[in-house]
Amino acid sequence: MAEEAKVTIYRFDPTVDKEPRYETYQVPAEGWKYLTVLDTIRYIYRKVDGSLAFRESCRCKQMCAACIVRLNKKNVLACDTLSTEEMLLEPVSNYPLIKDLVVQFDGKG
Amino acid sequence: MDINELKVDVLIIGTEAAGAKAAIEAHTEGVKVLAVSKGAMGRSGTTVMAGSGVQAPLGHADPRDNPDIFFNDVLKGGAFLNNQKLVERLVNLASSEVVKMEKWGATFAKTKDGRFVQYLGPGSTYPRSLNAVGGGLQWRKALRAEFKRQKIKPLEDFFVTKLLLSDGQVAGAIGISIRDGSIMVLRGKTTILATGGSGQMFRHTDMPSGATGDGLALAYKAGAELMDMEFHQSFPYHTYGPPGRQYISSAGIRYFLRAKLYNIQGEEFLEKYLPLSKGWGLRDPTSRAIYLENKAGRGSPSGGAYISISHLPANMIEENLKIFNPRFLSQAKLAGVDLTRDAFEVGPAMHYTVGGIRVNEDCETTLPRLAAAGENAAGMDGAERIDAGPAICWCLTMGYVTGKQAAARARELDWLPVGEEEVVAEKKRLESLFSRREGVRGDEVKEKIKDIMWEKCGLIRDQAGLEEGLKAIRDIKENDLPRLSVPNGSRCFNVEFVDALEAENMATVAELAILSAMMRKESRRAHYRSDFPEANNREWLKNIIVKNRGSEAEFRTAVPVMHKLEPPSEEGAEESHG
Repeated sequence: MAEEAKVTIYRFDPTVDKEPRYETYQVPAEGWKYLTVLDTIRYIYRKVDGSLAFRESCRCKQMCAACIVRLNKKNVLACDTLSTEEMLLEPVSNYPLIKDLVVQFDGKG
Repeated sequence: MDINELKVDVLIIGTEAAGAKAAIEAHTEGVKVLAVSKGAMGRSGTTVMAGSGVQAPLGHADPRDNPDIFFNDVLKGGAFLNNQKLVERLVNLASSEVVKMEKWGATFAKTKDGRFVQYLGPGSTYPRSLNAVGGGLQWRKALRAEFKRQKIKPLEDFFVTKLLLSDGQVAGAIGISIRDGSIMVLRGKTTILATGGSGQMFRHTDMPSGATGDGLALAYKAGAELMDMEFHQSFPYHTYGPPGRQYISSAGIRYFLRAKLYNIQGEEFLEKYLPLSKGWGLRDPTSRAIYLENKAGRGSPSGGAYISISHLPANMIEENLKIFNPRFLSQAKLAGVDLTRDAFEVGPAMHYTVGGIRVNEDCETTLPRLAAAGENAAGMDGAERIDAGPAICWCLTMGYVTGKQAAARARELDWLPVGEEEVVAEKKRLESLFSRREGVRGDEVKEKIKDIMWEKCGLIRDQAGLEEGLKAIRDIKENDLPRLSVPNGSRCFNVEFVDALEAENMATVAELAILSAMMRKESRRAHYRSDFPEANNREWLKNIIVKNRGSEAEFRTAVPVMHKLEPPSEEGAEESHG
């Protein structure tokens, strides 16, 4: 396995951005190897880019589904999916977008 | 004042089992309610993570069960520190309020003749736990459905930062929208706190990321009394490893297949610590045993213990799990863990906040017009919560009590005026935090608190460790909190900003937990002191109560409300950790 993972994330902050953009992060092994997608998102937020917005809650139980994201064009729970060396992360498309990976669920799903 | 304001009869902070139930019960009485959540309703909070059990003394599985037996079990489990009038009220409401959830859409396991299946949990005399199929998802489904039917719309992604007072009474709250950074005043004739626990104070917890003690900090800062803050229940079988596999819950194989626990030397070590139960002790003593085995250098690589069912026949494992736990089986396979050969690693995690806001049997706090429900409140569980579903039972019954009470009071009360000065000061505080780019980030502070609390005020405590912990938390309060910063300035869903607010709340609650633990010089259920390893009923059949006096925490003790059942004169032999 490569030591660095290439993680591309959909970024859009409606208060500053006119258009959505994709940002690519090179994540070292400690931020993705043997970790879940949620761990990697948290790693990027903590060590690389604190402006990244994401949801989490139960973190590990696959119950709350707050962390649902689109990984390589497929909806997954970030907390129970293992990270791989190349990932494209986008918000799920069936809810209104708030920012980055965060959507507005409005009691649905 | 150029601040938006919402005015409702009943303001409820929290939208899960306790908060949503309170909102529904109040709304049914025809008053206007607002339920506010820091996250998304049904996708945040602890309720959705709940196991399948919920206690109600229906007597379907064993006709000998009734509210009085339930009462006795709760008192015995709580080592008689419970508020007996509160427990009496709740056990008498349990059956009606739990069964009501079926009407609202929750699915329970039933027998062929339409009775509820009830199973026996540790600490219960008779089988009492109803089985909501799929656990927390049933509560989410039912509460959301009832919100929809009654057209109640929650205010989501809104962080309440301060309770507003008017002549010593609670007039509502002020907070900030996580979605757009707008500050809003929420006025209620009465206010109910239902924000859950504070497990995030600890390095290891299976509580949700939002369990940062917000309601406790709000109540404390406003001047309400908190109680039993030294008691935090742990769960011993939280998955620690293998690396990257922590999301797979392996606890089920311990309970249903009698999985064995080993240390790094391959020794089944639990019985050494827990001779009375032959290694099958209650949650907290088992947690302490795993913790101590690690302190002795014999833990698993992740700091826990190995858990395995590899001693069972391979085909039996496969066939059993296919029927009883297919999700676990498929997850293990996908992750490359061979259950016939390999082990997971498990270890203790903080699971339930036993202490909380002091309430009477009407769930009213010591501050006028403020109630508390669910895990936010104290007094139901005493020194320990029994197993298998009292937590959701308390949420539903206390939601009922607070909701009905608030609706009745709203009819006779008017809104209290909100002081402009207080609102402006809080707005200024939030604005200044938002504009501080340099300093220390909230998540760094949270990480520090988690280590301090786990090591110094976690499963095993002593005076020296607690003093070190206190010093470290006070250092954070003095040096880090004033420098909390939000490096990215976005007003829209700013996670750094939320982390900063949560770090403040965690530090406030952590200090109170440490001070309470220092004061209780004995061991009792969820509080264990290695320097005072025995329970001391003569001196410590008391609650520790704390209140904010300016910048000082003022402590006192009080004998619990004990109108019904006297504690036994001597505690029987009990496993503490060995």
